[in-house]
Amino acid sequence: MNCSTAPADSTSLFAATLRLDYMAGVSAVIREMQSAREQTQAVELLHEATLRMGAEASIFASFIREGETGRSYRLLLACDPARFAGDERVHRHELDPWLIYSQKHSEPIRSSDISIVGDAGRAAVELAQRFGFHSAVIVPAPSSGGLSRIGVLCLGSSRPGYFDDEGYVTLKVVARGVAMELHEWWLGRLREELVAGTAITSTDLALLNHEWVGHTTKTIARLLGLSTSSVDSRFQRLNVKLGVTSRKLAAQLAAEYGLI
Amino acid sequence: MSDRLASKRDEERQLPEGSLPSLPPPGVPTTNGRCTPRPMRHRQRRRRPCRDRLSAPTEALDGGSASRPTICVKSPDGALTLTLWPRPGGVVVQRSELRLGDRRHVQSMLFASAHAFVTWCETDQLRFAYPMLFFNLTRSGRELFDSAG
Repeated sequence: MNCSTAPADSTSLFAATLRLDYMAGVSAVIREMQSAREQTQAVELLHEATLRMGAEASIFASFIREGETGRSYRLLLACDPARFAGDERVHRHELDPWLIYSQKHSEPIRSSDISIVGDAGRAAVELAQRFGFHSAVIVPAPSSGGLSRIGVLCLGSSRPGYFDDEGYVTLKVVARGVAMELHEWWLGRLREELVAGTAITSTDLALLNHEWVGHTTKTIARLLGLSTSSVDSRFQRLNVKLGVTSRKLAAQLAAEYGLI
Repeated sequence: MSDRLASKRDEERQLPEGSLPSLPPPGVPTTNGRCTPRPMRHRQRRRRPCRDRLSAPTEALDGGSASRPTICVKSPDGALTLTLWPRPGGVVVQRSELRLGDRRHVQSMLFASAHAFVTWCETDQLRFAYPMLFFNLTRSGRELFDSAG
């Protein structure tokens, strides 16, 4: 990584965003993310982007539903890991108000503007404060097409109200770029992982695509020039490959991972 | 049938010394009466379940890169995997845990110092479930920081 620019001024967010190289510095990190091949690089780039955006800490969380019951939560941490380790395990992500907000909205928002409902929500916010996120900006990276996969970038500061000044408008612009780039990068990695682990072929993907758009067995057989029993047996093999119990779930999984 | 087998045995006897007779095609009995096992068909091989696709070791993803994981420790039940990579700014750690309800939690983070890493190990709630794993992890992590200078 070649990031030679010094971290942003930490006196105030507005002062940081007024720097001449503010946008260019963050853009440089975004460009590097596009070429990052390894997870180690992504963690370092998130650290760099966090500082250049004027924040102290950040977490990028990625969520994907897998099959009927499976879920995966993947976190890139650019904060003090020691603070994070102790309590994270008891944290229930599905009740996290920041994650819930990101599932329903695409606009960045200050954490103080999110209404907290219930004890679980309050506990989640208190937990975030223990991680050093006394004030935070939540930047969703949504997916289209009714998919469950989402990414969310949480930028944090140990100072309450840090993100309340005029610099917030500029921060929103650059943070969206970082969040979307990380989301794309992470999805690409997961896609590679799935393809490598299951040896899925282009023919399989064509079948899954037909299933995803709602074609019946008869229609798929006619379009691909196969018999209906051949289509069914191909789907059975695909289900085994992907470790799911039905072709509908297989298509859903492939769509969540961006394969179709 | 017995005549064919007898003539085949005669052919094998005529092979030069030191050379090995070629195996008969799958399904045809050899001289000891056993059949050569048929190779697994392509279709059968592909039918093997791949449910552990998401627990694929990350080193496979970084194939061909210069920074291969230096340390990878796994709990005996496979529920917890920790991978450490040395980097110029410290050590990047990936902690992957399979929790109840088929939920996978993966965290990736950068440690700038051995102290921060050891503190993190000491606060992990699974250290009581896998004491040896965390003992080895802490020791290996310290060595990694020491070797990185």
